[in-house]
Amino acid sequence: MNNKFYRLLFIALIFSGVACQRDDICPETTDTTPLLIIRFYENEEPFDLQSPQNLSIRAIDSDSTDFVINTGGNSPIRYFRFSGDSIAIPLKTNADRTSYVFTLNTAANDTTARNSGIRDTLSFTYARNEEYINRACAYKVNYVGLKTSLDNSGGDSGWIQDVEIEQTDIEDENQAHVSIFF
Amino acid sequence: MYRYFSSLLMILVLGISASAQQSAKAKDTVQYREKYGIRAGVDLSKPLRSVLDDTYSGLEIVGDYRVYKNYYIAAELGTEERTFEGDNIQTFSSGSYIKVGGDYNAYENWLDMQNAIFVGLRYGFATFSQTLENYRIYTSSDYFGPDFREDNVENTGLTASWAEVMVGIKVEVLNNLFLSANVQLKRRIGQKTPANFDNLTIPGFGRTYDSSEFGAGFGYSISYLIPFYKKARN
Repeated sequence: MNNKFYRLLFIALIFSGVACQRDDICPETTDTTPLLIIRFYENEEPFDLQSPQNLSIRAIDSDSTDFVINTGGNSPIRYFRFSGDSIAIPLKTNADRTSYVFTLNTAANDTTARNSGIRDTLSFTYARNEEYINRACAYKVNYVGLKTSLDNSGGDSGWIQDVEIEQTDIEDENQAHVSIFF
Repeated sequence: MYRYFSSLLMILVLGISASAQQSAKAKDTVQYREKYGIRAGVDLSKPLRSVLDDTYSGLEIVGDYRVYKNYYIAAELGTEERTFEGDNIQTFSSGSYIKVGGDYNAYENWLDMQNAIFVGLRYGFATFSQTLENYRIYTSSDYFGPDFREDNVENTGLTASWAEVMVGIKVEVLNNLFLSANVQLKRRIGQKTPANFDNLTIPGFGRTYDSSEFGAGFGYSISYLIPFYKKARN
């Protein structure tokens, strides 16, 4: 009887000790608020991916040199003079509208991306749904009913030909949500 | 000389008579009469923790009733308020709970002592409310800065139930006055959570874990036995 008792006591102590454990830290693998994934295609050949050259991306209301940094991958990518066929950028979680200035062909010495290249402004509007993840990561935002509006009418603008929404609801980062043709 | 002899004789006689007495007792079996009754008390650790830990306040009354030999029916009734502070979330829960079940005393007492090393089972039920005080929208990008929300949304009418195994000791420190310590392992059976949220702490159960249904706790109480009757141990 006594033996059994000590075993029980031991098990109980183990459990009370193990009490503080992994679920207090939000793991990087958790799906939190998704980034907006955009892929670039050639306008004439709509199935061919095409990389815009020296693309700089900045929120319209950001400071002059504050370009978007994608921290999702192994090494952070700063979207200044970036040349790649896909990007992942954040949408505001506290507003229903996020506007970005996409500057193509940014010159190397143009640190604000305002004096060189071609600048188009793309706005994303959406509704936001908060979703509880767990106690470590708290809440994420899912975006629903995505709409875009393109402003490429100015003097130094007009490189984007067409914008297509692939997914109106943005809940994960598994595939592209928006395609840009140029 | 004679004096010494007489005292020696005295000791011998006393010794013999004592041993005779013992053998006589052994023959008709010693019968220690044990007390049966209700034992009521209060948990000491919870008021103490209320003073020391400003995220906690609680009170618990405990009681048991000896029904048969080593078997007791037991219950705890309590109230708890607790703040959970995580990296990205803070909640406050407040409510009361009841635990009912039984204890088995596995300790064989010497003489007429009434100490216990016991194993107990309980069914616990809590009714409470939980307030989501503040939280953060978790994003992998900090480009737009952190998005903290302070809502203070209170969800009322939450419930939870669990099964509990406890082991502990009870020591009679003064006549009929007992100190008791125990550790508890709990497993949640059911719970009602707020919509799009979870119960992060449950009164009586303690903090919950996302990855399991288990919880742990402890108790340290003082209680007084009100004897109803005595019955011989056999």
